[in-house]
Order: sequence, then C-alpha cells, then structure tokens
Amino acid sequence: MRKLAFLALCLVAVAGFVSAGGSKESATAKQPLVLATVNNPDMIIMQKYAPKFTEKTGIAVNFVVMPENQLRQKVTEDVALGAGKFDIVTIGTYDTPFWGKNKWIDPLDPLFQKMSAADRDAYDVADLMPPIKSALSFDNQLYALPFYGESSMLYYRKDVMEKAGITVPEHPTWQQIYDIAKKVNDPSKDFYGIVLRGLPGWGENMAVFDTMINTFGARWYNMKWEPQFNTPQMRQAWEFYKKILTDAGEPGPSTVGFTEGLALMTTGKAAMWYDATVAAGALNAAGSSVAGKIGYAFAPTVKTTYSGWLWSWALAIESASKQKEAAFKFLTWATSKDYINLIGQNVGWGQIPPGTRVSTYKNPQYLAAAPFAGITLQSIENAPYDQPTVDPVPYKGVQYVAIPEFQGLGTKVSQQLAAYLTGQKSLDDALATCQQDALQVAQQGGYLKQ
Amino acid sequence: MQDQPRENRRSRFLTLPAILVVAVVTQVPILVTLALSFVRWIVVRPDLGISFTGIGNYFLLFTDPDFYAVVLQTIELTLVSLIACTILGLFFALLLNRDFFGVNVVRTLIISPFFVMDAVAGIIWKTLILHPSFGFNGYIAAFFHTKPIDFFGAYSLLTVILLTVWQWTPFFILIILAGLQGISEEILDSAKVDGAGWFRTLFSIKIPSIYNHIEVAMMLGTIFILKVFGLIYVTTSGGPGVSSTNLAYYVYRVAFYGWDVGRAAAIAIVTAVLTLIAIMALFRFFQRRFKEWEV
Amino acid sequence: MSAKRIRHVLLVIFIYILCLAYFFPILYMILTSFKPETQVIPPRFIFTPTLENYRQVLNPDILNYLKNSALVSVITTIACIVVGIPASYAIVFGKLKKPDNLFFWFLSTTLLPPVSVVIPVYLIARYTHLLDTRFFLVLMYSGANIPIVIWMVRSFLKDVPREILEAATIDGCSRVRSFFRIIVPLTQIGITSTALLVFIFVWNEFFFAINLTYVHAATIPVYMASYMTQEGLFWAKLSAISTVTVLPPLVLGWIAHKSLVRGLTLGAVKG
Repeated sequence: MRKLAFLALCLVAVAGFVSAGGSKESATAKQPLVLATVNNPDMIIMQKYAPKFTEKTGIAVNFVVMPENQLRQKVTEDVALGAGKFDIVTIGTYDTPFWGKNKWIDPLDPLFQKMSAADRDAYDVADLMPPIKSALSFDNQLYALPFYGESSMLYYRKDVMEKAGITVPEHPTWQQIYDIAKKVNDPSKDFYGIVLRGLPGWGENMAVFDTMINTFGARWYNMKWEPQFNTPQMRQAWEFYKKILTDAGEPGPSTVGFTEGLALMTTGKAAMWYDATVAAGALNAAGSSVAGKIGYAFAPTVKTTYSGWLWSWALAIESASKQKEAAFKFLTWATSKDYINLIGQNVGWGQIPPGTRVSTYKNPQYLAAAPFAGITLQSIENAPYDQPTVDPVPYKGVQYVAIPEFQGLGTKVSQQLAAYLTGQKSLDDALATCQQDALQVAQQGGYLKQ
Repeated sequence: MQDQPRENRRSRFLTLPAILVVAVVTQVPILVTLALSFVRWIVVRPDLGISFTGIGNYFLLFTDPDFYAVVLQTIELTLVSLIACTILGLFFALLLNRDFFGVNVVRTLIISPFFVMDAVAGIIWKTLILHPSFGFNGYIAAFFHTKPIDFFGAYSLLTVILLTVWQWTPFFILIILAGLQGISEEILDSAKVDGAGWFRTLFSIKIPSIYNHIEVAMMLGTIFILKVFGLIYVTTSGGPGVSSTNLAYYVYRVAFYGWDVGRAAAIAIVTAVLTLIAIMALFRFFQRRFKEWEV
Repeated sequence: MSAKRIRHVLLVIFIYILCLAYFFPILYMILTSFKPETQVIPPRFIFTPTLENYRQVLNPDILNYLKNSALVSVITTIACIVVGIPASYAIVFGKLKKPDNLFFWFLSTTLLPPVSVVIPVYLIARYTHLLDTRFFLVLMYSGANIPIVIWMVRSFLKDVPREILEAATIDGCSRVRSFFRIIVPLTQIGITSTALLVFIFVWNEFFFAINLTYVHAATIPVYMASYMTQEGLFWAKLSAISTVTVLPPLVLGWIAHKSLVRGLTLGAVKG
C-alpha cells in the first residue's frame, strides 16, 4: 500500500518532467527565421523594425539577442558542433573569413545570382564599401552582408580645448595627444585628459591598443610567424600606453571598456577619448551633457599614415539552415538602401547604421545630421586591413590578428596588458608571458614551421 | 531480526529514483568529459581534425605555470570565503534569532543577496559601487580627497572574495538560523538559571546543538564556492593576468576562448579530482570531530 | 526604561542598520532601475524617477521567458523534493548497509562546476535532439539539485529525537503515519528552506540556460543576459530587468519566512 503511494508520487514527478517538455511545434510550412545578434543599439532598432519585413514577405523572424562574447560562443557552438539552430547569424569581420573557409556559412554570390536583375540593381552590391566587402570575403567570395561598419577616431571637447588655447590637429600623432592630455588633465576636479580602454578582452582594450602596436612599428609575428613581443618597438608601445594613462588618463583603467568610456565622456569627465566611430552618435544624443561640443580627429599615429581600425557587424547564413532563401531575403532587406532610408525617416538620420554603403555618405540628410561622417568615411576607406603594420606581416586585420586562435591569444595578451597597467605585473614579465603564449599558438596552430 | 532484509530492500527502493536521476545526469557528462580529455580537438580549426592524443592534454596542463597559480588561487578563494562566511553566518544568525518588531523584514533583507543572480550582483558591485570613477568608491574618494582604490585592478582576488562572501553568507545564515530555532527553550532557560553567561551559552550549548547544521552549511558552502563562476565572469574576467581566475573560470577560458575542447576537458577532470580530495578531507574532518562531540 | 530594555532597543537598531547596509547594493539597484540612464552615474540618491526602463524591459517577449522560468523552477523543485526526501529518509532512518558512502557519492556528483561540462552536455543534448527543450533543463537541474536536497534534509532529519519516534512506534503508529505526523511538522522549516533554495538556484541559473536554449525554452536569465553589456548606457535597464527577475524569489522568501515563524511558535521539541 505504501509502496503504491510512493510509486504514485514518483509517477507524478515523472509526469511533471514530461509536461515540462511541452511545446514541440508542429511542422508548419513556414517556420520563423531564427536570428542571433548582439545587443547594440543598431541591432535593437533592427529588431524593432523587423515586423516591417514580416509585413512585406510574410516571413517571421525570431531574435536571439546576446552580448558579444556570448553571441560568439553560442554561435560558434551552433555551427561547429552541428546543431544548426540558427538561420541567420551576426558575425564580425574577424569571424567571417575563416567561418567561410570552414564552410560554416554559405557564400552569397550564388544567392545573388538567383535574384532578379531588378532586385540586384536595387540592392547594389557595388555600393558596399570596398574595404568592408573584402574583409567579409574569403577566396574572393562574399560571405556576409555588412549591417554596420566602423573605424576608430579621436573625440575631443572643443570647449575645453578653446579655453586652454589648444588646437587639435586633424591627423594627430600620439606624442601630440599625450602633450595635450597632460595640459588639460585635472584629476583634483575629477577631469581627465584622455580616456582609453583598459578592460581586458581581445575586443576591448586590445582593439584600441593593437592600433597603437601597429603604428608604433611593432607587430605580433614576423613573416616566419616568430612572435615579436621582445622588440624595442613593442616595448615602447606598452610603456607609452601605461604612461599616458598614468599621467593623464582615467583611474582604474582595467574596468573601463567602451561603455564606461562613453559614460565618462558624456558626463563631461574627460577631454579626449580614442575609440570607435560609432560612439559619435551617442555622444551627441539627447541626454548627453556634451552634445554639440565634440570635435573629431583621425586616429593618432606614429609611424603610419592611418591607424584607425576596421570592423563591421554583418549578417550571414548558416550552412545548416533549412531556410536559406528566406534568410537571404532578410539579409538583403536589412542591409539595403531602403532599410537605411526607413530608419533615417522614422528614427532619425543620426541613428542609421553607419559605415556600410558609399551612398550613405553622399546622402545630404545624413551628412547634415552627422558632422563626423567625413572622418568616419575616410577612416574606413583607408584602414590598413591588408597590411596593418610598418613591417610586413603574414596576417591581416588592424585591431586583431585574423587567425581563429586570436580569440584565445588576444584575450591572454589583453589580460597581461591589464596586469601591467594596474601594476600587478612588471613589463618584462608581461612581455615574456605574451611572447611565450604567442609562440605556443604559432606552434600548435601549425603556423610556425619547426 | 527477520525484518532486516525487507527493511534493506525498502530503504534501497526509496533511494532508487534519486540515484537514477543523479547518476544519469552527472555521470554521463563526466564520462564524456573524460573521453574528450584524451582528444585533441580545436573547434575553430576543423582543418586540424579530431585526433587521439593520450595524455597530451594533461602534459600541457601540468607544464603550464598558469595552472598552478590557478589552483593556488582557487584554494585561497575557497578557504578564505568559507571561513568568513561561517563566522559571519553564525554572527548574523545569532543576532536574528530573536523576536522583535520587523524581524521578518530584516531576515528577508539579509537573505536577499542570495536571490539576485550572481552575474547581476557582480555588475552592480563593479559599476555602481566599487568603480573608481562611477561608483560610490569614486565618490567617497573624491570626498576625502584621496585616490580611489582600484578594487578590481590591483586587488582583484580579494575583491572577488569579498563579493563571494557577500553573496554566500545568506546561505549560511539560512541554515544556521534554521538550526538555532530548533534549540529547545527549556535548555536555554535552565542554562540561564544556572547562571551561564552569553559566552558560555554560545559555546557550550548553542554551537554543539547546531553542529549538524554548521557541517551542512560548510560542506555545501565549500562546494558552491569552489564553483564560483558568474561573479568572476562579469567583474574581472579572471584577471588582470590570471590573478582572479579559479579552476571553473580557467576551464571556461580554455573552452570558449581557446576553443581547445580536449584541454578544457582535462582541466575539468583534474578539477573534479582535486575537489573530491578536498571534500573527502573535509568530510573526514567532520566525521572525526562529530565523534568527539557525541558524548 | 530599564537598562535591559535600552540595551535591547539599541541592539535591535544595530541589527536594523547592519541588515540595511548588507542589503544596500540591492536597494541601490532597485533605486537605479527608476533612474534615467544619464543619471545613473555619478551615484546619487536624488533624481527624476522614470518608468522608461520598465517600459522598455517589460515588452510582451518577456512573458515567454517568465513562463519558462516558472515552469522549469517549480517542476524542478517539486521533483527534487519528491525524490530527495524519501532518499534522505532511507539514509537516516532506513537500514542501508553503508549510508555514509551513499551520502558521499551524492555529494561528489555536485563537485564539478557546470561550466566545465557545458560542451559535453551540449553535445549530449544535440545528439539526443533535446537542445532548446524545457525537459532537458529540468533534467539537468534536478540531477544537480537532488544531492543538495538530500544533504540538507538529512541534517534536519537527524535532529528529530529518536525517543519520539520510538514512542510512536510503541504506540502502534505505522512508519508512514509517523513520517507525516511527527517528522514533517518538526522538519517543516528545514524542508521549506531547502525548497526555497532549490527554487532560487534553478531560477537564477545562467550558464546552462544560455548554452542549452535558443528560442523555445529560454528562461529569464537568458533575457537578462541581453542587458548585461551594451554598446551604450545600460545600467538602469539592467537594474530594471533584474528587479523584475528578483521579485518572485523575494516574494517566495517572504512567504517562506512566515512558515519559519510558524515553526517557531509550534514549539520546539520537548526535552
């Protein structure tokens, strides 16, 4: 009798398990597309306007929104371990080439061929900015359509510079920036000369610092894939980064990433900020205490002419997707001229996804709303993606090294940088560790021939 | 007794569902992990393929200086947090084990850090409280005209310990309080009548009575604190360098940044073995001590 | 007022202050959820309250996440209690050959950090086609939490004095009856605390939820993750969604405390 009661209880528990399973959707003709994306403002706007796409084509889209690191991990899991539950994935210029190589995403040229001539003309692939197009290609095939593109630039407070009688050159050098920062730095009044990322992460402090590595004449590897962390130029770059942050930068740099930098700038705590071009919109948005007071300059250099980085978030189709045509429709909709107009008219011309099409930068409405457009355009067009450093290197990429292992290596080096900046490690130790890590990666990845 | 074998069977029957579910859910992944630890598989380099590498991953692991730093830090993080949580837990439980106006409100308040997701708690502490520019830290430092303390940069491990203690003490409070409330009034009254002071009562009566509960709190607490991950993930990302990385975060970094599934599996296995040894030691410690107390 | 009374009042005030200070970060988080993003930093207590964050965060999408979280948490908690208590009972009062070894085995299964086995678990879920299902989540969470239930309930069961049980058996009480009539009331507080803890663990579980779900089975932590960092100010919105997420466990904790008080007045065991 008691045994029965106990069994009944167990059955209830099991029934509970099973009912929790629930909702296996019946296979309907048109399933919604599943799209994985980052939680950037432009994507959030895209999510908001996706119903317009559904209206037009009858295809629904389910958005799965995650922060960048998680997105990359989840999507890599999905493609590499074969689950194939995403139809469309948002990936960057870093991932696209080798994902295309691994056949994790589909080449888009065949899909473009299937389009009607009229649709293809309306879409105008030639309008996409060449450097971004080439960064999203592998073996001369386009694998992803850019949703937005960016480079890096220097922001400064026009009012502060005027008061101090300083003119910031349009193409500054790092030394000039250091001098200016020191002049206007005033920590006793909670005001800092410059804000630079120190937050560990290959896409955080490493993005900013790598452009400095390049322009100081250093590099990660030489043509034989031997690590170059023991060169004097590399050392100079590290010392300079620490010097400028210590003498004229924000406190606690290892907790300052893009968002914190933006916050510092918009609350009027800093005179200069070197970071992504997409920040321009946020700096001038309503609610920012420095709207309208911002001046723009190119990314500071030392030995190169242009040092701004190149990045784009793009939409790609997973090879395992079962709805590639529908997915392609969405891709072309979200990156089309029509979409840009849609956002421009309904949200504001300052908020359209920037940096993807040449036509955007000829649009008078956009240019009126974005005084920084000129510098952004030039920075993207001149970003030294194929040859980022002074001396030749076997890799591409401005703010990263375009090998799959860079996620791990870049993160490790960024942590060493943070340790050096916060005084937890000496420069010699940090550089030695980086050299060792880079060597291991080159060996294990089969780049360095023994 | 003739009842013995039947009793035994019935007891085993009662434990069967639990054993089944737990075994399937926990042992199968461990077996898969063990298998993976002998394999060389870098997810983002499918061109290198998946190959058998024997103890290659373990060799790489044991020759990596980072590994030893991480183990040391895991021990430091767990031990210090455990001791702090136990003492604080006892302290608060004793304070809250009385009847006064608003006692329920106050009890819920102090348990609430436990309800908030550890990742969110980490972000709140990192940005709103301890941040040298945006948080109360910066504000207070400006008020006293001193340089703000770089909590997460210069004192990364200590800060992680602080946050861990803040988050897990409520767990200890909950268990110890439940134990304290089971102590009979009569024993306490007779102690008072006998003239025992607050100190005596605490150490001769209260603590021995809740020995069970302290044991559970410490054992489970150790296990949970060993696994702390969310806090580190959102605050320091294990850094600067590897200074605030524990074994759990180390596995994450190797698996999801390095995409070296084999090596991550090896670290996971080593973690399991090390923590097993640690828990066995703790368990034996409690067994022996309990025999002493049980007069 | 006697000196004793004054001491008592001072002590109570001290406790209030202490607990408030401990709770402060969460209080501040709730406060921040009502601030406009631009007023989050630098820290302040005076601001212009707004419901904008809640409006943004509480969109119709959130219902699916809440539903999944509720289902998964409640079912896991029930399953763990229903399966764990009998096991615990058998270990403490039953006639097993080596109860301590079984204990220890249960404990050892919880040693591995979930993050260490994510990829193997993901692979298992993928090959059994159980990715993005609530069932798989419930299964995983139950396996992880049953040992905790067993361990905690064991200590509460151990506290039940043998004399009472023996007296009941002598009086002719059956095992089941003595379980429900004697053991349950005495360990009620403990069992409620345990259930609450399991509920909270499952409700807040973040890493497995993110990796094993996509659209259908996504729980609230997955939704919260999308607010955890953004290219733009996000702290007020994060505070808002976090406050919403913390509400169910908080309310449950409140209710559970009422039963804690009831347990106290029910009287401790007669010596």
